[in-house]
Amino acid sequence: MVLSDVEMVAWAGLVNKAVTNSVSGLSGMVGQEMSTTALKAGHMSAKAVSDLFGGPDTMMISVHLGFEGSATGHMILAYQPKTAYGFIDLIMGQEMGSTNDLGDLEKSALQEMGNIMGGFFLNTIADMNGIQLCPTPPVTMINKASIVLNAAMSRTVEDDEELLLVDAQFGTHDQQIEGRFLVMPSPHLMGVLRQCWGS
Amino acid sequence: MVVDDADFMRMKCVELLIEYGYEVVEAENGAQALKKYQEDKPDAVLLDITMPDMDGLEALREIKKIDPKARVAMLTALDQKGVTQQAIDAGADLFVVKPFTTVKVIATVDKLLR
Repeated sequence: MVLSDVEMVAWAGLVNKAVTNSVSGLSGMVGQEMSTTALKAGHMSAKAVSDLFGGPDTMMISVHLGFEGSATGHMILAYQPKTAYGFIDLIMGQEMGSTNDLGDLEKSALQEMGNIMGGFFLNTIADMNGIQLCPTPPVTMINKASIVLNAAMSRTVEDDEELLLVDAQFGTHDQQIEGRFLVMPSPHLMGVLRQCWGS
Repeated sequence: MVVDDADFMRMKCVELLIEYGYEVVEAENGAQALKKYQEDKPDAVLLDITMPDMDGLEALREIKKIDPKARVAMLTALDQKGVTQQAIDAGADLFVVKPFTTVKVIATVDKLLR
C-alpha cells in the first residue's frame, strides 16, 4: 500500500504520538524513564527489514502481537538475546546480568512488555480515530531474524512488495539497553484510517 | 481472585495482595476463572481482558450470569473508549490500567469490597 504525501504526514504524526504513549507505558512498567531514540515510519523492502537486525541469520528473541477490531495488523518487539535479558532484569527489578536464559516467567515478563507497549500504541491510534483496536495475546519466538520477521510479514505483504513499517527504537536514558518495536499495519488498517481522515 | 494469562503479571498482583493481607485465588484463563468462581466464591475479581480462548469480556459476562452481584475490576492495558464501554455494559465495576501500581490495585480492591 502506498500512501500519498499528505497521508504519510498524517500517519507519521499519529505514529509519533502512539510510540510516545507506548514508551511511556513501558516506563511505568519498569519504573524508570525510557525514551524513544529513533523513529521511522515509511516503506521498506522485506530484505531491508531483516537487515535492521544485522542480517537474516542473526539470532533474535521477539514478542509478536496481532491486533484486531476495526482493522488488523502485526506488532513485534525484537531484541538480540543479551538485550532481552537486560529488559527482563529491569522489569523484574533484578540486578543487570541476572538473567541468562528464558524460562516461563522470563518469557511472560517479555510478553507483558509487548502487551503494554502494543496496547498503549493501539490505544492512541484507536482513540484518535474513533475506532477500536485490540491486541491478541503475545507470543514469544526465539529464532533467526529472517524466520521471526517472515512469520509476521507473510501475513501482511505479498512477496517483493514494499512494506509499510513503523520502526521505533527505545531504551534507557544511559542507552545501556535498547529495544526495537516494529508495527506492520495491514492495508486494511490504512484503508480504515483513510476513511477516518476523509482522504 | 486474580485472572491473567500472563504468569508474570498474575504473580506480581497476587504477591502484592498477599502482602496487604488478602487471601487470593488465581486463574490463568477465562474458563478456569469461571470454575474457580463457582468453587471459591471470591469477594472480588481482578480480570485481565486480553486472554486466549475466552477473553476477559466474555469471562465477565459468564461470571455475571453465575453471580449478578459479582464485584469485578478489569485489569488491562487497553484504555480505549469502545473497550471500556463494552466492559461497563457487561457489568464491570472498576478499571485498573496496566502497568498497575500497588496503590491503584489496593485502592481498587478496597473499593470493590466496600
